[in-house]
Formats: sequence, C-alpha cells, structure tokens
Amino acid sequence: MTGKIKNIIILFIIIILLQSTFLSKTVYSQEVPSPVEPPSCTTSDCHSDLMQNTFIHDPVKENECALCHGELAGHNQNPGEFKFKEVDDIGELCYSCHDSFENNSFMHGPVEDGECTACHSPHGSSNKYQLLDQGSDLCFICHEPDIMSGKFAHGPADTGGCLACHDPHSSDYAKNLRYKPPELCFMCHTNKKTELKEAKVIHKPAADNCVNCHNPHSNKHKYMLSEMVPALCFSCHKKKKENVQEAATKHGAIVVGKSCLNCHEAHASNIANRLSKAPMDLCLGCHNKSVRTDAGDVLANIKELLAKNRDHHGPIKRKDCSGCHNPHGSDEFRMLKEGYPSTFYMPFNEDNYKLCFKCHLKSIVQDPTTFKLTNFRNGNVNLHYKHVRQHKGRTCRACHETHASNFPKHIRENVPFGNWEFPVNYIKTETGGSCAPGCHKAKKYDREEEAINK
Amino acid sequence: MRILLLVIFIVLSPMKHALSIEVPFGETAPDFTLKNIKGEEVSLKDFKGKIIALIYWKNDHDYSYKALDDYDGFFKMYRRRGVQFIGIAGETGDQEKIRRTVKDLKIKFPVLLDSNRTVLGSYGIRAYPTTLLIDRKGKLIHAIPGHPVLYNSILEGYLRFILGEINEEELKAAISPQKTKVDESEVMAEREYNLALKFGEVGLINRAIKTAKTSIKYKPDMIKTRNLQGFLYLKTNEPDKALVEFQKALDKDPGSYDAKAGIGMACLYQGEVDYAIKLLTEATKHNRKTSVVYYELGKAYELKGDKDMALSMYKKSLRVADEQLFFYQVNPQCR
Repeated sequence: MTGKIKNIIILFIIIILLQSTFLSKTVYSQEVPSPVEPPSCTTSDCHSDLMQNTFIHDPVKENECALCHGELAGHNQNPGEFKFKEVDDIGELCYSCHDSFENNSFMHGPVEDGECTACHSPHGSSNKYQLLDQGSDLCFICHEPDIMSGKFAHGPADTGGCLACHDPHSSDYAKNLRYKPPELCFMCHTNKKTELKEAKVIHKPAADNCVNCHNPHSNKHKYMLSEMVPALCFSCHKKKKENVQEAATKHGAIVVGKSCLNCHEAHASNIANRLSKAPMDLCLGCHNKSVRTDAGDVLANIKELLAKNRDHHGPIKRKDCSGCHNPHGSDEFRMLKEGYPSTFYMPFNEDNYKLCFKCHLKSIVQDPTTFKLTNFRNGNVNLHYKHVRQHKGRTCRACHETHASNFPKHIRENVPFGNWEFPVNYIKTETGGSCAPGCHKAKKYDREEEAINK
Repeated sequence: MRILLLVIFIVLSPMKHALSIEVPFGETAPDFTLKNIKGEEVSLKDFKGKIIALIYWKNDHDYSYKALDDYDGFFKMYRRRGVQFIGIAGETGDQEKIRRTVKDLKIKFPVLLDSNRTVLGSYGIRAYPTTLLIDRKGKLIHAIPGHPVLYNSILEGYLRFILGEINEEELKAAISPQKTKVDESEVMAEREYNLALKFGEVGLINRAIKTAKTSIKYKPDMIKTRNLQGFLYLKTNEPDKALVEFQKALDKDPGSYDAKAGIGMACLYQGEVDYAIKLLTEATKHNRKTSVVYYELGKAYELKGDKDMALSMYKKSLRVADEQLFFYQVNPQCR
C-alpha cells in the first residue's frame, strides 16, 4: 500500500471520529425535558388521606403500596375497572416482614386467626403502632367493657393499661398474661411478694393466685374482692361460717370493721393462724377498756385487770386467751370453749366446769386423797375434793380468779356474797398455807405435816 | 394486810416461776423411771447429756392430740440435731388404747407410761398437755402448758435457744412474734418503679417517666429508679435530664454500672464523643458487660471516624452476654 492510500485511510478515520464526536455532542447535550411524574397512590387525590395519620405504616410512608397490594397495571388510570383483590391471608402478609408469634402457648384470638388488622390499621392511625383505638377502648371493641363496671377498679385496667398485664399477641400463660400469677401481680405489688416470701404463715390461696380473692379488673367491693369479708372467707372456711353464724354468743370483732381481718392477715403473717398480732395483744387491742355487749353486760377492762394483778392464769401467761375463749363465738357464756357457769354461785358439777377440765385433771376433784395431784392438800387429804364435794360445795371460781389476781394460783382476794365482798385472806407457806374467809374459820394446811384445824 | 400478803407472795415466789408445773425453771429436772409401751424400763438419766423435749399428754384429749401432732413435726426436724424427744402418757387406765393412739398418730419417739402419776407428781404437772424442755445439763429450761396458739413458735424458739442457734433476744422475738414492720415509702417506691419499668417496656414512655417520678418522690435515694429515669429520658431525646438522673445515681453509688453506661450514652447524644468513649470504655471494665454498651461505643467510634475500632466494638457487642440493662427494657428493639 502506498503512502497516499495510507493517508486517505487515516483521514477517513479522523472524519468518522470527528463526526461521531460532533453527533454525540449534538444528541446528548440536548436538554431532555423530564417527564411529568404521575401522582403516586399517597400523593394522588385518591389516597392522600393515608399520609394525614400521626402514625403511618412504613410501606405507606415510603409509597411502597405494591409491597402489600401487589402491582396492578391500569389501577391508577382506571381504579374503577382495575380493582385490587382483597388480601387473602392478612397474617401471612404481615409476617412476610414482621416476626410471627407462633411459638407461645396462648395466642390472642386475632393473632391466632392472622387478623392483625383487627387491632392495627394496615395504613396508619392516630395511635402508636397504628392501633385502631387507644388503650382499653381498643380491647373493648371485642371484649366486654362490663369487666370495668365495678366501683373499685385495678389501676392499670382503669387507666386503659390492659397491656400492663396482658400481652396483646401471645404468651406462655393463660389469658395472655405476661407472667404467671402471682408473679405478675408481684411486678407492682412488691410488698406482697416480700410478705409472702418471708412470712412463716402463708394464706395458701394468696400464694397460689391473687385472683382467688381479688378480681383483677374491677368489682363492687374494696380491693376488688370478689365478696365482702367475711362472706369471702366463709366461701372456703365453711366450718368457721357455721361456728360464727350459729354461735349463741357472738364475738363483736367479727361483725364490726374489717370483720375477720380485724384479727387475721389476709395474705401472710409470722404469727400462728395468720394473726396480725400475738394472740393476747390482739385481744387487748379492744379489751383495753370496758366493753358493753349486745346483751347489755359490761365486760371488764382486761388489760387493766392484768396490769393490776400479777399472778395470771396459765393461758394468759402464754398470751393465749383462746385457751378458754373461742374467738369465733360459742354457745357458752362469754364465748367460752366449754361449760362454765355465768353466775357466781352454781352447785359443783363437772359438766358445769367442763372448761377447767379441758386442761386440768378431773381427778383433782375426784380423788379424796393424793400426794401428787395437787399441792392444795393437808397431808394427803385433797382439799380441792373437800371444797367441791360437799353440800353447797364451792366451785373453781369461788376461790380462783379466772384471769388474774395478786395471790398465788390466782386465788381470789375477795368472794362476792350479796353486798359483801368477804376476804379470802390466803397465805402461802413453803409447805402449805392458810386462809380465813367468810366461809369458815381460819384454817391451815400442810403437805408434810398434816395441820390440825379445830 | 393486803400489802403484807403481797410481800409474802413475792418473797415465796421462785425467781422464775414455772408455768403450770411445780419445778422452777433452772432447777434440775427430777429423774424418773417408767415403762415404755413395750414394757421396757426407761429413765430420764438414760438420755444424760442430751437436750430433751418431753410431752406429757393423755388419751382422748383434744389439746393433747393437737400438741402431739405439732410435736411430731419438731421430732422429725430436730431428732438428728441432738434433741431427744420423749412422750409420757398420763392417766394410763386403758394402756391398749394408748398403744392404739401411738399407732394411729404414727408416733415414732419413745412413749412412756406414767402409770403411778410419778412424773405428774414429781414435776407438779397441772395442765394437759405439758411440754417440757431440758438442757444438756439436765436443767429444766421451759414448760409449755396446753396447746396455745403460739405452741410452735414457743417450742421452736426454745429448741433453737437450747441448741445455741439463737440468743436470748432472738428467743424473745421468736416466742412473741410481731408483724414485720415495713417501710411504706420503700414499698410504694418499688411498686411505682416496677410500673414505670412495665410502661417503658410497652412503649408508654411518658407514662413511664411520670411513674418513675412518683417512685423517686417516695424514695429519692433509690438508685435503680434514677437510672431507669435516665434511660427513659434518653428515649425521649432529653440527654440533659438523663444526665441529671444518672449523676444522682452515681453520687449515691460511684460504682453504678448503669449510671456510667447511661452517662456515656447521654454524652453521645450530646455529641461529646470523646467523653462518651471514656465513660463507656470505663463501663466495659466492670464485670457486668452488656452488648448495648459496646454497641454505643461502636457508634461513638464511628462518629469519631475510627472505623476499625467501631467495627471491633460492634463485633464485641454481638459477642458479649446479653445481660439485663435498663436501657434494654425501655428500648427492647435494641436487642
């Protein structure tokens, strides 16, 4: 090839390159008018209201309607003709982005049915999580609002905080509770947790489940109790119900104020029978003054009586009034557990003094002689027997104060006899003693060397 | 005369008058030899050197049966702790009936028969049942006549006292149990704290803040509520307020991990990256490590432009145990 041909070829290439450069400039440097974007779903007149909500589902916010509804060509030109199909399986659609709740034992109905839209708006709402309504109003779309009709209501339930206790989706516990009761209740009622954990005497229904006694939503009774006390207590403690209701002598403490809870703790206590105080402290909380009974009797101020008299009857020494009295009521005088006469003078009969023989041996008044049964003996002559087993025999209360006295064995200082209170004049000695009452002349007794009384 | 009688009584009364028995407390318990229900002779001295619990009871007696039931519970608990349990049946007219009772009540401790009222007389027992406690030296320490409401408390108290497990003051508290006094303000503070935590968990942050404030009112010194409040303020983008709460928590407990982590996070919110890194790094030196602290450190290094450190922290965040930090509870999505 000659040099001429070479030059022609080079020139041809240069022309083509120049031409192409020129052409490219002319074509691509042109300002192409950008096409007018068609209005989107949420900017068009049709669905712009979706963007007015306070809380908007993210795909709506991002105009990603197709994410849920799918593509439907022609809808935006002619929505009347090209309508979207209804979503067949809402749950499945939601779970394509959101985690499902299938692993728990208890599912909220709508969650189980995959009806997420029963509670959440798929587009948006004025409530957080695009909920259809606020607080309990949402729940009461399906659930009965009557549960909140009681005069006394549980705080969270009353303020629409259903979710404080219930998980709206699923839970391992029945009724979709967040924890198993009573742990759930202890989340807030921390003092009760401590009380039930640390106390020695626990009310089992309280430890098992608070709703055994309390309605978790509302009730007409204070503390949302399912019944008033004592009816609530009697629903389980049937024997006590009979005892209280059928007793001829009723204890005022059960019919006033907090009834059973005047003496017992509802949840737990460190004291036997779940008493709120040591037994006698409890009794003396009321019997620290004279008390008039329904029958018109005036009961003594026992606290004062015990303070003034240093020798107390055994059960009182043990701070246990219930040794003799039935605090729930009884058919006996002064709610005593067994027979004991209401009048001072009553012929001796073992049945009349059954109460005393609940603890003390009957032999003490049955055996004419003894070296072991009692210290009230002259040699081996049983002076209890002698006092009791005779015509117009004297009874237990003739010589002993029932609660306390300032004399050993709580022996009386005086014995009432009409308008006269005659003194017993009891003196104790190492091996016996003496008395000089109005009943008989002064007499002595001695366990070691029988005293001769003229 | 009355005064004279009183003086005589006081003088003649033993220093520690026994309850319904004639042997004063502190005196040597009288020895006895009785036959057991198998007919074998048993003496008190056979158990010399042992702590002895002895219940004197009788058949067909409601209080005795109730006390025996409780007593048996203590026998099961204390038999291997150096306590010898003995039962003595009084009023032994029908011995076969006593044997049946022992069988019916499944009594496993030795039961002796006081056929001649030997023990009744020598101890001067006046009430049924009577439970006696004798120490290792053979001294009578206490007696419980009957079956009082506090029977278990008294018996347990004295057993533990004689065993040396409790002192006299503790014994007093044990036999006169009182309702535990609770600090009501602490209870309320704890209750409101838990409620605030719950509100935080379910995303009701403003209510959580309000409730935490109430908790703080009840107990301003409760560190965990201050920390919770701090994290709640972080959630509402109020790092200044958060810092105040964390600082108060830190003042009370200079070692508070939550407070240090919280201050670090608050500083990061405020853009004080270097200080945030310092505090968060300090927090990671505690035994307790949470992924969220490393995550925040990662964020801090990322903001600082140290991508390697940021990556390292993010990796650590994934690795460390996911221990509970309040921040998680109010920001569950961070998990």
